[in-house]
Amino acid sequence: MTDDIREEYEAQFKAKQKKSQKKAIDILNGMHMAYKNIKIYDPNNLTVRKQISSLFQDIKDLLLTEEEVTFTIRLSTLYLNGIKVHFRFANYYLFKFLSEELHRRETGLLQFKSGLNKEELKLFIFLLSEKEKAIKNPFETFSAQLRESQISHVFVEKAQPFEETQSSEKNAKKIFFLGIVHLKEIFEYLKRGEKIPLSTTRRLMQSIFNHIVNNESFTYGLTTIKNFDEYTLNHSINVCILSISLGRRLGLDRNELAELGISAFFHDFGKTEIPKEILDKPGKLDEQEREVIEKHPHLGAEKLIQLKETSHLPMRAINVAMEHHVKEDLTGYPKYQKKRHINLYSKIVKICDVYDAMTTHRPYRTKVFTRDETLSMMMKNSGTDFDPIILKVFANMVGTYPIGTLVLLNTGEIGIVVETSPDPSKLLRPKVKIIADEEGNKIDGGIMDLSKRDLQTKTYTSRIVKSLDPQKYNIQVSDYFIVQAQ
Amino acid sequence: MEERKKTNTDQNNNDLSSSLDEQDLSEVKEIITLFSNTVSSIKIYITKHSTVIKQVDQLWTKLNDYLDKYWKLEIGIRELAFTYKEKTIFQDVKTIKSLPFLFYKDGMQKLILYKGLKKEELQEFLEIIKKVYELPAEEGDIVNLLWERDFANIRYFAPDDFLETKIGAGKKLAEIQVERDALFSGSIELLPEDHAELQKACKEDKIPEQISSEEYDEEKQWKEIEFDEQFSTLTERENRILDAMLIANRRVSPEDELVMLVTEMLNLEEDTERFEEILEAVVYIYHDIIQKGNFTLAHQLLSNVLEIDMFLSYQSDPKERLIDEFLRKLKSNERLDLIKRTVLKGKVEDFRLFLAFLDLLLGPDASALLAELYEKINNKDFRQRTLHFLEESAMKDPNVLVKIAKDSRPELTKEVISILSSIPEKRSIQSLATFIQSKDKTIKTKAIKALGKFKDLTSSKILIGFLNDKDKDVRILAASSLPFAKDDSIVEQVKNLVFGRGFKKKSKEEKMAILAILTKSRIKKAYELLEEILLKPGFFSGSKHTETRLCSIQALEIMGSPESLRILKKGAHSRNRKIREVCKMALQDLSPDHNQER
Repeated sequence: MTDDIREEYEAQFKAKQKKSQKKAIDILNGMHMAYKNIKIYDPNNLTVRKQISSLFQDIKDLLLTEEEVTFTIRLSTLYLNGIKVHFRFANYYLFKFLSEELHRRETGLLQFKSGLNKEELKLFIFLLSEKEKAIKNPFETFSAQLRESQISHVFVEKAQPFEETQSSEKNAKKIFFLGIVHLKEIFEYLKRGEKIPLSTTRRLMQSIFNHIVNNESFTYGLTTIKNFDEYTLNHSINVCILSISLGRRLGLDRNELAELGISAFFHDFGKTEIPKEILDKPGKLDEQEREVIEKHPHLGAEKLIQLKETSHLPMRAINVAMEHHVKEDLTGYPKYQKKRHINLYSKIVKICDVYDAMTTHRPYRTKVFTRDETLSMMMKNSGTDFDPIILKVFANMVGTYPIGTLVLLNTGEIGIVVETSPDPSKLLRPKVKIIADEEGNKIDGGIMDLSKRDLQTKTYTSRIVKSLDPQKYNIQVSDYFIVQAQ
Repeated sequence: MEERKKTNTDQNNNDLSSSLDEQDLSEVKEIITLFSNTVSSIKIYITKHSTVIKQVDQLWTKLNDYLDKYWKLEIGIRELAFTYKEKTIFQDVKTIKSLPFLFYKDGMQKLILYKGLKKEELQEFLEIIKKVYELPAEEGDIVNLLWERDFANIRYFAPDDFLETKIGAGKKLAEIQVERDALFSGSIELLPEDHAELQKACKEDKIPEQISSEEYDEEKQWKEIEFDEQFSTLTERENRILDAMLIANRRVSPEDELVMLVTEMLNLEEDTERFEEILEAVVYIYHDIIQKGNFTLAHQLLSNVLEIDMFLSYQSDPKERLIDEFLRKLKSNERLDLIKRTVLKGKVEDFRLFLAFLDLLLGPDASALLAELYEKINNKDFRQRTLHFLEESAMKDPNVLVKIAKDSRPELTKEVISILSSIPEKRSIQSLATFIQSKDKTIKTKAIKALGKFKDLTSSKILIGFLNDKDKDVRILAASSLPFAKDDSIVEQVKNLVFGRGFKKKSKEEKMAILAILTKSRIKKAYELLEEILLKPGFFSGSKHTETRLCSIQALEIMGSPESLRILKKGAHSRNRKIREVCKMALQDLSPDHNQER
């Protein structure tokens, strides 16, 4: 394509995309509102009826210009009539809502056809809102329900099997450890002055992204693995996973996420230049040792700059290597003389770096902070150490009780947080894997959704009393994630 | 009998289904062949080429028809073949250029096209394939590119297993293994402090009698929501700031940020060896920036380095030497050639910034590079800005321009002459003198006119030099442009010319132009020469002689001074009748009465 044609095409495509984006968000918003209320109120309730009317109007408007209104879910992306819908943090829950509901029903395509009426739409939303226990053939059941309810203008299609099964916990675990090996290899390549296979690194980022999209909770859970092989390697892959997740919530696109992931992956590159005796020295570092440690961002950036020419490394990886210890108020290290702002990727990686480092055992620190302790300490330094907005999004992402937190429930049971609620109003009510019963016996318990209410009393069944320190109970939290993938 | 009938029906169904399969297979084969042909075309031609347009149209139509009928097309990928329903439908055994191999090498196992495929999607997909063919093998990963593009109706299956072939050199992957039985056996005893908190929580959870459990729960939930919203919900304003951050991140190019960053790195680096390493990397960054034609950023980078250089020189820091070395590299022929190539490729968007960069890098020496570009780039803005730059450079040193003006650059050279003539300083006259040597007549005449504007003896002496030029027009122009002649040496040179061998052969026009120089002189020697020409009959002979004498009469008439009247009166008594009459006519024209009549 010549540049002129490409530009013209891109401009047309962007205009179309913008229009489609607004419509998609309006329709999804309408669906979500109706879906939420139909769960609480009777389908004929005035509020529900009003919301259905408004949603119906939005769909009808679009049907005036388009033959149909088709939402397609392909792995991690939602399309409206073939155009990708972009989500930012403020409306990310809309994506989660529709993708989870369709995923639960093994549905890959949802289509509203011309001729749709309000009654059909209401019935459809009602069916969508019905929570059922895991069934054998969810798509077939859903499809049959639509037929039985005589909903003839809403069409669904089964998701492609491979798209649904591409990411399994076993694969996610494999990718995690491959990541560690890959980084180790890269460090070796560099020592030998060889070219690094950045194309493979990019593929690795792609896989991490796919696993995050497919099973976000489990992939986060893997970041509870600490100090496997060398600290820096394990830490780097953890920071990489957290950064890609955070970037995704912030609204970065795929290319940006791949670059962010690579930047996070290489953020501690400079540590390869620091003597191991200093890195792993138990106890406090002296002034001179501290100076050496504080040079690692600078050294890392220098190394990456030299790599840039031969490896097509994203330029911002150099920023991240240099800036991941520069605080929001520009204190920290190195101390900039002229530069007055920190790159967005550096801000993201810094948060994930601190979070993972504080929750990891290090020889020079007696205490390992629990995930929730770490998060609240970070929140106290919001604005000075961290960008307050990005930190908030991060807190929302990991939840008040982040995945991997060991918790004591009011029932006396002990569990590990395995999934946070996508609803920002229910961050204190995550899903918990029960690992010990009320008597303290270790068990392979089920997953308890703390946001669920008892159907009869309509009250919550359990709540978290407090988080527990896994070290004090000699519990290796990561084992509970790894065992799922064996 | 019934059984038999059933079997027949089955057979019929099988036949029908098999014929349908055959039809399906042949349609897919046709599509894949068309696909392969289209890829071959896009590798050769540009997208707008009629062959490509035609083939893409055909392919899209066929695909669309197929997808309308069958909803999707799933192609299996083998090393050197495409398959459909496990049957090979296309083979290409030339490994390097093989189309199936292009997908296979990056671990793709299936390629699926869905109903709803848009023509734009197909075109972009083909562009991606073209790009992969063009990139070096280690960079062109089609899976990476398709993943980034994320097409709605073109999907692929490339399992993670592929990474195992790339990472770890085939060694068994070291992983943590957990013993399930051990993990879920034994017990946990709560520590006293945790136990106490559990007891406290249980007490808190008891519902007061006066409210219902639902209301109580609702109340608690509100507290939780309030807590969480404070903690992690973004306000409208924060959402807007977040959006602005993303936009800003996309607007500021990574190169811009990198330039700022390397400046900081140079500022912070104390170690000379590492400082040198950073500078070496900066050369590469500079190279990239120049290649992209981003001269604004190149200017930024250079000014940052110069600032550091200045700072280091104040402190007599040895690193200053390294910066000087760095700057030398930037001014090397190799780097300057890169600049030229970039500009000639049309990558400069803003010539103002380009010239500002060149000025910073080379100062007036940039003229040489600009001169080379001037003749090759016919862009009005560029040319105007270049001339302005040259004008400013010439103010400092006119010789800079002389160096760049050549016969091979006629357009620029003429502009250089104009610039030099506009400089009100004598030193530019010497610069203009260099054009005497030019073999280009247009350049010479431009230089003569320019020199004629200086009312100065030097410029006249230079112009006299042009009177010996091979070209008659040049000689005449030089003579008539000569601005100043009140000098004995000028008259002496005219005299030498007039009494020289070739003078009588010159045309009347040229003779007159030469003698007209004397009219500008009006010194004694000039009159003496004119008198000598007019009155010394023995010296000249024949009609050519008379022509010269007549020219001298014309010159004297132009001068119109008492001295010329005196000489003309002498001429009025000449033995030559024609001379006599012309002198009389001249005297008549010059008489006060005649002037009154006129």
